[in-house]
Amino acid sequence: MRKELELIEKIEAYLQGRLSPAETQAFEEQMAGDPALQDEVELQRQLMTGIDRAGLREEVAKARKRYTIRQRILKWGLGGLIIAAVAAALFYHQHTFTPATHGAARPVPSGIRQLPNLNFKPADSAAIVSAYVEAHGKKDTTLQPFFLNASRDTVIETKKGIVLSVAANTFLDEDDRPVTGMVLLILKEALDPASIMTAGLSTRSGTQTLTTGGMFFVDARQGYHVLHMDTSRPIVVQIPASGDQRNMQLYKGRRLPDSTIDWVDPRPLEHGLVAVDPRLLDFYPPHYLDSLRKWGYDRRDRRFTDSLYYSLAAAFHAAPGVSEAAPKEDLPKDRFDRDRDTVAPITDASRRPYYHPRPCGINPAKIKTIWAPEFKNTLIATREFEQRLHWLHRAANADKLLDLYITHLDWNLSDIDSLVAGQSVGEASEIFGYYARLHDGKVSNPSPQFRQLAEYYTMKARAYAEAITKTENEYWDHQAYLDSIATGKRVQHAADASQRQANNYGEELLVNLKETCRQLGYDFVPNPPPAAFYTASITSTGWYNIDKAVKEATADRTTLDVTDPASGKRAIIKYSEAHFNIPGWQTYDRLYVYLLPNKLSSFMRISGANGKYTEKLNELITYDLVCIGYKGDQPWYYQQRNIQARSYANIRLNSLSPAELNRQLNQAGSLSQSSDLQKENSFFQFDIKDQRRQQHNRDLEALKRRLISMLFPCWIQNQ
Amino acid sequence: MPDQHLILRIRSGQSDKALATLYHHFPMVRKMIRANGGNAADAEDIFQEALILLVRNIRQRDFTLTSKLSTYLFGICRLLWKDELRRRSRPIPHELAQDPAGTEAPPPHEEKEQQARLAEKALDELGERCRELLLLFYHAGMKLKDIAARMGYSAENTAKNQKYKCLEAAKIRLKQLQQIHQTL
Repeated sequence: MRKELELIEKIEAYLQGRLSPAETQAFEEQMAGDPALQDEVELQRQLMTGIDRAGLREEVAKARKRYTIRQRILKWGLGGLIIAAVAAALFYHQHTFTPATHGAARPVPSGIRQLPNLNFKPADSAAIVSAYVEAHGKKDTTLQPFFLNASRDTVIETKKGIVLSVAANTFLDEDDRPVTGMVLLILKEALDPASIMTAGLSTRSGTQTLTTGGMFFVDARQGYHVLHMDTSRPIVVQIPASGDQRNMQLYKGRRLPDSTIDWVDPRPLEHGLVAVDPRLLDFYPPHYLDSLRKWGYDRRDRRFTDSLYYSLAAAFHAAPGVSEAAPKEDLPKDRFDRDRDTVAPITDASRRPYYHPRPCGINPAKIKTIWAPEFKNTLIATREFEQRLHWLHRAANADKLLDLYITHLDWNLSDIDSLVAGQSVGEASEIFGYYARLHDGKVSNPSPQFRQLAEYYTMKARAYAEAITKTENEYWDHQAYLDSIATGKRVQHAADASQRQANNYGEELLVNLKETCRQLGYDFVPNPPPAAFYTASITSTGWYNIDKAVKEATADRTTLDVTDPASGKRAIIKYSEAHFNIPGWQTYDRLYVYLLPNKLSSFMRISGANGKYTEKLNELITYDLVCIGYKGDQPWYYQQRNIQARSYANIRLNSLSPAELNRQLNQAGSLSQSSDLQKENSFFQFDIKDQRRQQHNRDLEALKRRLISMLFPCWIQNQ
Repeated sequence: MPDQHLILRIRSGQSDKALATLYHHFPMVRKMIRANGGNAADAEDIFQEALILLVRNIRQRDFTLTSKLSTYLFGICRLLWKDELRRRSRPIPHELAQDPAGTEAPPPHEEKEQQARLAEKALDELGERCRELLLLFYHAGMKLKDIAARMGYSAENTAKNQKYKCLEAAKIRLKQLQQIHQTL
């Protein structure tokens, strides 16, 4: 035990006389020299008195209750329990009452009028009603009897429109035990001056005259037992309001010996709150949806707006209170749709944390938690709370202030407002002070599970924060993985292209060499690597010159014109230009032009710009032309066989399906060429998607940065 | 129930039953207070306060009753109502100004009562669980073991520790309230 607690224990023993004489003497000596200790002892002594008084007060209250019940039974016989009141309801008309109940009670048909049977059984309800009516005078037809199941939540509406919401187990018997079975509820209402006067009711409180907004009387019976109410389960009553509703209070009726009623014990009225479907409320920070719309996003796409906003919770990950591991099954399903948004590489995981490590504002994971069906029928799911949340988002210690509402779900909203006003500064303090003065009450929730909900909130907010962070991390990890794949494919593609060029060059060189040899009258022997070597001395340089000339011509794709110095023979291989002109080239996102040489194993991709492509054709080779264009994902295609060295001015591509494109490419050129073309095309298709993925990720990061600076301005100020 | 029985019950810790009997004197007190400028709610407050004082006085060792208990109770109510009227700066009606013979309730010690009320307030502000724990132990005289079982503490020792923590919190709050009260 702590030192302070030990001292309290010692003082207690002293005050209760449990110390031995020696100990007492020692303690008193110690006290004499220590004024602080004297104060502590005195304080504790006073506290003991306070505890005793508090206990006695409770006993007195119980005695009063017993006395009152007894008096009522004695005085009025059947005319028992009054919870009547003068009131003006401030439930605005536009708020229709939502019955939070199962079976609504129905009035007993007014025809039930039997002679009172003195020996009626408690279950004989009709007889009880009759007896009751009898006891109140035969002419009192204003009494409205209702039967309700005491174990169920019930909503009752009187003829004049007073609505009572009765929670299960509200009524207690004489031993304070909740009654079960059917309970008779007798209601009487007087809402207008005429009915107040005809009912013989007064509007006086002591010596003052009240301006009344209406009166009602409630009495509960089971059999002939008068029931009283569990004070922790008040009946929520909504009275139709008219006239001046300001300063209206609820009074309790006290029957005087002359049978008039004195209205006493005034209490301020509460604004009852009406819970609505949480989906109808807007819990986003101010301007979130407006800004999205301004930036060109669809603000009505709830899936998008939700997942974008909640994803910002990852930035709060380091925030205190949301650090414990979340269960795996809590992973939210509605985050960004990965399949839909094929996104981009370049992003490497290391440049991801763009958030400042000192978050402020409300963690979106908390908003996700309270914007859930679990909180329907609580004050969270009300328009009134929606208004407050709007301001909470802006408050400096918003996260903490929000917690106050969640942990006090069973309080009146205005009481929590006061608490919040006390814990905030500046504008927020004023705003919540204003709200506190509105006297907003609570949602009539007959079976509150508030404690569980508060626990749920704590657990779930943490779980969501974890899950969102985890999902966010997974998303970016996956993007980094995709980046690495894309980079690999690009490197591979570049390697393939240079390999193809090298192969083509080698093959064309061979074609050219053969032809040169033929024209010069040499036998051309392709030289596979020899199994053995002969050594010989060289006597002539001619061949080497020819060889060099052919190589240069092939590499530069220029016409070969060479004379053999030994024989004087001349060899010519012509290269002539072909021009391809593609009108409407601007409309394509990507445009590729290929030549498929019949004597080479792969294709040649032709360079060009602005729809104009040029290549020099080797007269020894025939070429097919293939053009592939993309508009978005849509491929376009053109093919022409046997290209001549001339200008092709009007090449028009046709759109076709990706499958059809595949088929066309399969038929284009030789087997190896078509396979290479397929490979090239599939890379480009991948690349198109991957560029889009990258762009999406860049946009996403930019959007989040923009959102954070707007939604959490205090955060930015901290930076 | 004869007065002596009531006193015995109060002294033996069965004040609840005695209080239920004593409450029957309420109409008399209400009438007196109504006749002297108060309303029914005032009467209720005064009467309840008087019952608390009565029980506390009876528990004092030096308490001796020389009149009927109801007269004594009525006397306390008169004194309390006079004090209340003074506090409200209202004139004291002639009837109240003179104490009739046989009313022998000692004037309540104003300062001590004020302190006790502050202590009660500190206790009320403590939170329901602490309040219940302290009342069960100190007022109802329940054993820690039973309190632990009733309030869901894992062990008697936990309840004991909690009890001292509650006392500590109450003392701190009481000190604050006293400071506020002194500065007012």
